[in-house]
Amino acid sequence: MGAKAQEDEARKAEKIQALKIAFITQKLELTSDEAQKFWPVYSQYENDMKQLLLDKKNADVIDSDEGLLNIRKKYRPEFIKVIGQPRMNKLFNAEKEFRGVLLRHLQNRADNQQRPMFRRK
Amino acid sequence: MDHSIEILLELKQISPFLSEMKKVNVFSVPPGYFTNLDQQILENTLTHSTLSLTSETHNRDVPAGYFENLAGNILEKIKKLQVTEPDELIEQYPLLYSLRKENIFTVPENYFEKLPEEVLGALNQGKVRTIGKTRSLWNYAVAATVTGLIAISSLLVTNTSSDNAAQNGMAKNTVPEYIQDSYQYKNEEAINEGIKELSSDDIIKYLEATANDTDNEAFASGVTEKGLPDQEEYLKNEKTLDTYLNQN
Repeated sequence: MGAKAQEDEARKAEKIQALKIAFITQKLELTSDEAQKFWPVYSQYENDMKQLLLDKKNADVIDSDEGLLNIRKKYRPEFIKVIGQPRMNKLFNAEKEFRGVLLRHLQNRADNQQRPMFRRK
Repeated sequence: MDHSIEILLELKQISPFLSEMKKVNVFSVPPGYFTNLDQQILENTLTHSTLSLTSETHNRDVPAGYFENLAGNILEKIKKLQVTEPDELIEQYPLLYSLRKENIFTVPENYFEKLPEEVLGALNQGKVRTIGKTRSLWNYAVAATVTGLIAISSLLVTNTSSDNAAQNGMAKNTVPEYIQDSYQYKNEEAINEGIKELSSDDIIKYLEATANDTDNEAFASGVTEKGLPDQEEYLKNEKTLDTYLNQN
């Protein structure tokens, strides 16, 4: 059962990841050719980011911020090569936006849950 | 003679004129006719001017070498003849008239020298045809191979699940599954629908696990469903979320 729960967890994470990719693809208006070159680079970038988050727990806050910047700098030339400077700028905004969209959904749900409670009063 | 009388009577009936004729030998010849005949013939021919072989004809000898040059002379005369163009030909058959001096049986230059090569070339083209036949055999061979491959691969797919898993693994290597999944969210609406299918817990877990921005991190860790602003408030003011973020 534990293994199944883990599998379930991975499947959910994959679904969110798929949503994120769809979101970024639309924001950056990637063509299928660009997507083919872009996603392998982005995947590597994400792996580095995950590693940074794991190390972050005990690290100095400023150091971890610097680490984040360093990773982005490291991948900057590759991103520019594949999607160009303007869209690379958009990329990190799109990442933030996606998180914003997820938050908005959470917020809406909270509201919907609260409303019946208000009506009961 | 009874016999002759009967014939005579019959003849009278058929032709009275003939029966009345006297019986005379019509083929009689004057006496001594044949004795002088040869003399008479000779005299007659000699005295006849047109047929007489006089000394004149004998004297008019053929010129020397007449017969040797005869053929040449005739040809020369023909050549010398000015062939006058018949008006009829010009008027009625202008095409034929224009063609009269043209040699229509001409052959291109070096035609006969090249002829053997051309014939050999044509024969070689015949060989190409045979290659074409073998090519069609190739088609059959390829078709048979493809059919065989399909049959074998279908057997492998249905029989061995391990092969199937291996194929899936290959597909994962080429295009990650989450990227393939992303194709189903064609627009923003589809993405929103996809997010709605997620549980709040899953979203919060994801935001926490991937919080790489100081702003978002603070928000994601501090978010509680009940503490969020009201939806109406959010609709009234776009910056509601930002103010909420700043408050926390």
